[in-house]
Amino acid sequence: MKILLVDDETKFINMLARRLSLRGLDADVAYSGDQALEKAVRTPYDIAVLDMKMPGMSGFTLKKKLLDQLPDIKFIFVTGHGTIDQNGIPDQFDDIFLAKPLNIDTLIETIRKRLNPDL
Amino acid sequence: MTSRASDLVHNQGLQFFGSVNASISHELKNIFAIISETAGFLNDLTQLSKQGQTFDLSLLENCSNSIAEEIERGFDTIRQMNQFAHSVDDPVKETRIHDTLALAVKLTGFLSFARKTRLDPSGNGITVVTSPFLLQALIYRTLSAIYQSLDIGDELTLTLQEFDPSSVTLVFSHDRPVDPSHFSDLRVAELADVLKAVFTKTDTGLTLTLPRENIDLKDLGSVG
Repeated sequence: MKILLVDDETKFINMLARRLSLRGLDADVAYSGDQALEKAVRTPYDIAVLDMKMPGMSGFTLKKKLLDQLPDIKFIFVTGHGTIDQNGIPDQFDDIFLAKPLNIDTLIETIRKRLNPDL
Repeated sequence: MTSRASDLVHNQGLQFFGSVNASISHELKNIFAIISETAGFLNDLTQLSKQGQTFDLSLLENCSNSIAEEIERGFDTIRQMNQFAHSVDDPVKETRIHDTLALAVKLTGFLSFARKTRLDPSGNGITVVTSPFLLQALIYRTLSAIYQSLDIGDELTLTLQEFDPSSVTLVFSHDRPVDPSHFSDLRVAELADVLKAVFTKTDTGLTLTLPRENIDLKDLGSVG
């Protein structure tokens, strides 16, 4: 399982990648939408965890562009927005949102369910 | 407060207050997210240590430094929130315009489309008698509109100038004229009208000229 984490908050995303790695998950980081698209050219990621608000390119725009490169990739959105916290339940567009600060166990469970909906 | 200015505070003010506070809370959530992940990582290291695994002790130092940095960032954000909250204390006040600009630069810095902005230190002592809250709203919305007309690597410079004794001019300069399509927000025009502020498009950006004293606002209340 290859995970791509994208957020302009570099300390947050680096620490998250480290914690996922300690739990045996393979996570790459990108600090912008453009960097994420570059990485996706070289690596067939299974899932991307995207910050919604980033300078230059929003998480939603990045989702559309990543899907052009990797049609099977799945998504989880992470947000600091106060009113969006659906505890991992998909919305009408089948997008899943998790609120910051994250719970690492919730994130891992959501990643697994996203990649294996039958679990 | 004149009825028009008073209406503006009530109609636009609450919305402006809300949107600024939303961006501040977003910033604070990011700070808490970093502290939370760092604390979680420290817990991970503790568990590894309990299992007899060794790790580089510099990791602990990095974590504690990171937490301290984020706490300082949080305090700075809360200082700005507090300063912004107090901008409604006096309906009209002698206002150091440099302070208003500095706060607007920091508050708009939380927006995802913000651009690198440098505030020229000259003109630090210049004051105007105006509504500090409406002025803050006007400058915030002006900066937001300019950011949207700039590319991601562009830089904006803000300078205060005094061309005549009765007015103060804020110069928003970068490398090209602003795109007028980003100034279609009627709220900006409404604010400028009440504050008697005049926008002028230039080859390198935009100027905003404010009266040194807005006589129409004088009967609003205290002038500190």
